[in-house]
Amino acid sequence: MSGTGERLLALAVLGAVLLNYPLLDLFAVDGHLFGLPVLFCYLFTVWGGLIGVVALLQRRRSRQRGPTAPPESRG
Amino acid sequence: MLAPWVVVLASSLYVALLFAIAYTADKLGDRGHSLVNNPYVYTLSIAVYCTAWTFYGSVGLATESGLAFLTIYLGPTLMALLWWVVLRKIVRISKLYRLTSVADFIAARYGKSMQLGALAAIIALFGTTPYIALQLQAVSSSFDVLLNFPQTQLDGSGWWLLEDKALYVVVLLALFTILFGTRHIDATERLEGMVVAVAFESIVKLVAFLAIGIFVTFILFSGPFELFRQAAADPRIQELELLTSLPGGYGSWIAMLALSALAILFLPRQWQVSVVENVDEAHIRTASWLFPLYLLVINLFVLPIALAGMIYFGDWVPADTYVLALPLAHDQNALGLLVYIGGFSAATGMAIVATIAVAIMISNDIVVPALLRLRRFSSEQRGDLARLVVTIRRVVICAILALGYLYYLLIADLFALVSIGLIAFVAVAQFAPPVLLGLFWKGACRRGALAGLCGGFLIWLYTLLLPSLAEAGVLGHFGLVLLADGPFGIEWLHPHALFGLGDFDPIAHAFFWSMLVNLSLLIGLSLLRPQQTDIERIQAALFVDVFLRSERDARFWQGSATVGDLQNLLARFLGYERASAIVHEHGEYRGRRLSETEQAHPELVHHIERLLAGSIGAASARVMVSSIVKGEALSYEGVMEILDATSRAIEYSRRLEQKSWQLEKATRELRDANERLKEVDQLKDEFVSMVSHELRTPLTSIRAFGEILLNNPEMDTGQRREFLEVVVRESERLTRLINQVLDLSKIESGSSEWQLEEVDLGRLAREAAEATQQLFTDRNTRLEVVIESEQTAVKGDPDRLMQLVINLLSNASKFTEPDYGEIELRVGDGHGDTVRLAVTDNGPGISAEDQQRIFDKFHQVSDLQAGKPKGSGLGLAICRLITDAHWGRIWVESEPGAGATFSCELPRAGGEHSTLTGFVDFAERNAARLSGSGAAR
Repeated sequence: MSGTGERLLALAVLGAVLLNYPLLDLFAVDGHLFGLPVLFCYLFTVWGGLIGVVALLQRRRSRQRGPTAPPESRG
Repeated sequence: MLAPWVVVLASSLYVALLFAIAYTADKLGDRGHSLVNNPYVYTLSIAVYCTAWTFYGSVGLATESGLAFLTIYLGPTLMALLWWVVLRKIVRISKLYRLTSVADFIAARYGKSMQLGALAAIIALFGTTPYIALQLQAVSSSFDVLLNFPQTQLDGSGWWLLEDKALYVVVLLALFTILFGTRHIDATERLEGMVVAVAFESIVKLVAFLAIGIFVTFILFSGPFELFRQAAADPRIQELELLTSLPGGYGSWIAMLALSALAILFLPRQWQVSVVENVDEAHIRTASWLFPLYLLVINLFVLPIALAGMIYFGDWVPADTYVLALPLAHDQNALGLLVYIGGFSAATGMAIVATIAVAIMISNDIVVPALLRLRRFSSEQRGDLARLVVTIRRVVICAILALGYLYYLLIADLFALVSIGLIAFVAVAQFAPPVLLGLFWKGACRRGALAGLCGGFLIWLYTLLLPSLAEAGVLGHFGLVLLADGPFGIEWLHPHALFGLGDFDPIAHAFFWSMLVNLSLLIGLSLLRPQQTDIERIQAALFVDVFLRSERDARFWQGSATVGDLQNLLARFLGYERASAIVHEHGEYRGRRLSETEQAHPELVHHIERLLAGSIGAASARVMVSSIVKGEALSYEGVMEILDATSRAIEYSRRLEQKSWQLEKATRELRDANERLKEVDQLKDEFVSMVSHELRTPLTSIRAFGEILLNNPEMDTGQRREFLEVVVRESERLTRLINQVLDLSKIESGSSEWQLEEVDLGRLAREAAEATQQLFTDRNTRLEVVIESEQTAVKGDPDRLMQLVINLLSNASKFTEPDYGEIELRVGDGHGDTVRLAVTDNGPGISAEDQQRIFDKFHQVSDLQAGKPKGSGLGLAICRLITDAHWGRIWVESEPGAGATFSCELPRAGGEHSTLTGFVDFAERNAARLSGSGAAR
């Protein structure tokens, strides 16, 4: 597995933890953040954050290798 | 209210547009201007995930369970993070072995097993039919709402077949799918027209949904804050606690997340667009962040719309139709029409791709294998089977759509959109264990996969499909009892609470049990009965290690077959012309023409099997080829030997490459070193010639005066004395010069012999002043020593530093007028963590041009008055060498006519500079400086 693969795997695990119980329980409260419900804010922020990090990882890697990089000889 | 003809016309125009887009894309693709070779089209086609369920159903779900609707999109986001690891591997394998569906993939992985392929195809069919029904229901009910709003009760006319819009939709879908989905027999050929049309539909549905979202949030309510404020004040909404709790609890949330994460990979339509239609693996990079972004954007307004609908309508409009009802209630008919078209897009896109995907599975994994078993299709028979396979696929397409329509007529009206979709999710989740375990674990065996799939599927049938049929009233009395007390009143077998496990909602319950059974059977049987057949082991190794091996040499046939036989076999499926072209091509690859009667090379046999796999499925292709090839297929050991030899060869050449690269690098380094050496040599030559020149000047004058004295014995004593004084002075200068050259070379070469210790620069300056006192007294110049700071300790060699100060002082005394000279030696704090030592004189100063070069060797400032240089030109060069060796710097500030200040800064003792590296670096820096000053000349 390449370095990117490991980072993505770690990110997926992190995402699964952030988007699950028991962490969600912390944010499932009555109240508003910037006029929006707290849980709504939290979910969309984490979601957007994950997307941003993947985009960063993938774009950097593709710039390093070019779009039609040959496959790695060692997985 | 809209006139029916407007809606019908809009729908027809839209469908005509789709046909036009697909047709154009296909034509462009044929001419080589592919539109699908583009990561954005790829991502948009994956967005076929968002169906009518997303479009209408999410809002409905949000009114019941708040933010729980997001799990259906968060799961795919998590999976998309792993696409680069998982999906890329699947894509690579599928392309290598020309696998055209998830059923084909599973069959090929587990020894090209026909049973597994057929079972997977059946599961896909069962999972897809209700899903297609869901789309039909959504289209039909959105049509009704559009025409009849605010009347929400249907008048029942929908039951009359000819008046049912869903029927027309089905016919159009069938037409589209047949036209653009079965252009080629080879299912690995891309369906470019279909993909581009689906990508277009993804844009339409996104735009439509954002339009309604913005309308509701910013026009009906003045922004999201106002909307949420009103929602918080509404007692009906407060009661539901939509925003502060996640109904369904832990189990449901986790199950939905996992379920949707698997669905994004294993739904037949997702497999079709993300695996089969993938053009370039690099597109996965873009899709893995852009697709989640698409999901995020399309979901932004779901909750606002749901809340607005609840505030506005309450219960009298079904929540699934809020999206459409909100604009209509405000007489925004154009917007209503746009929303309808968006929903129509979402529904048709899904139905088209799902139908073609399942149709390929059914034809390649069920129908063709069944036909092959019939005698008259066996290998001796000649005839064009390509047409037959395409016809089968077209019939299957019609059959699947008909089945979906039937399901819709029967029960779809009774359920919310979401529950139907989730039933399909659980069905396709059964593919996860055999595919994912099969990708990374060679031990997963065919028997385990078969048992696991069977078990999981049966549980699904019993816990989800059966109850849904019972609820629809299809099962009569048995169904009623089943739902109330379990089958025949046996409570622990209740389909929604197996063994009394009733705390979950039905979907999570079914997901848990089916996965448990599926996984335990697959893992358990693989561990307990590990013996596998050769072909199973070969396939397992090829799949798991796909990134390790080259596929070129994968020859599994050692039996014999003639080229002619193989060509005929291929011709039956691909047509005579293509078959002979392929054989001819292979001949060219081998470098000669192949005759029909000669024995085919194993590589050709393998190549033809792969080509057939693309058309009729991996399992059938194997059967067809083995019916022609006489003799055994290679054993596992045989195949592995070939593969290992190949990978050894690859490894060997890789190492060779590495070696030659290292060699090249060493050569380059040597060349560089050589060049540097040459440069230094040249510098040395220049130095020697310059030194000789400098030595010659005093020597010449000594010799000249000596000759004069020799030739004029009668010279008077005064003049003789004067001449002798010149000789002595010039000899002194010569000595000084030689001393300094020696110093310089000692410093340059022998810096490692220096003693490093802590030196108090202030005290050293005083000592130097005392040592040179005589010099100043002789010339009657005034020297003032100012020590500004107590902390003046530096690290260095005391003798050298002393030499530095003395050089600077004698330099200053040389250039000041006797009797008027004033010189100041000052030691204090420098920039940063350094100690500064400065010598200021009131001499003639140094021009800007000379300031630059004054520290170069042999650079002498010509004294305009005396016309003769006073120094050797080496003193300041030595100063710079010494400061450089002490990690310091030296510079001069001067105005011509107003004196000069020579300053040097040395880092304080106890700083970070290390003893060793400084002196080692020094040699390098010195070399660089030498070459730099060389360039300046």
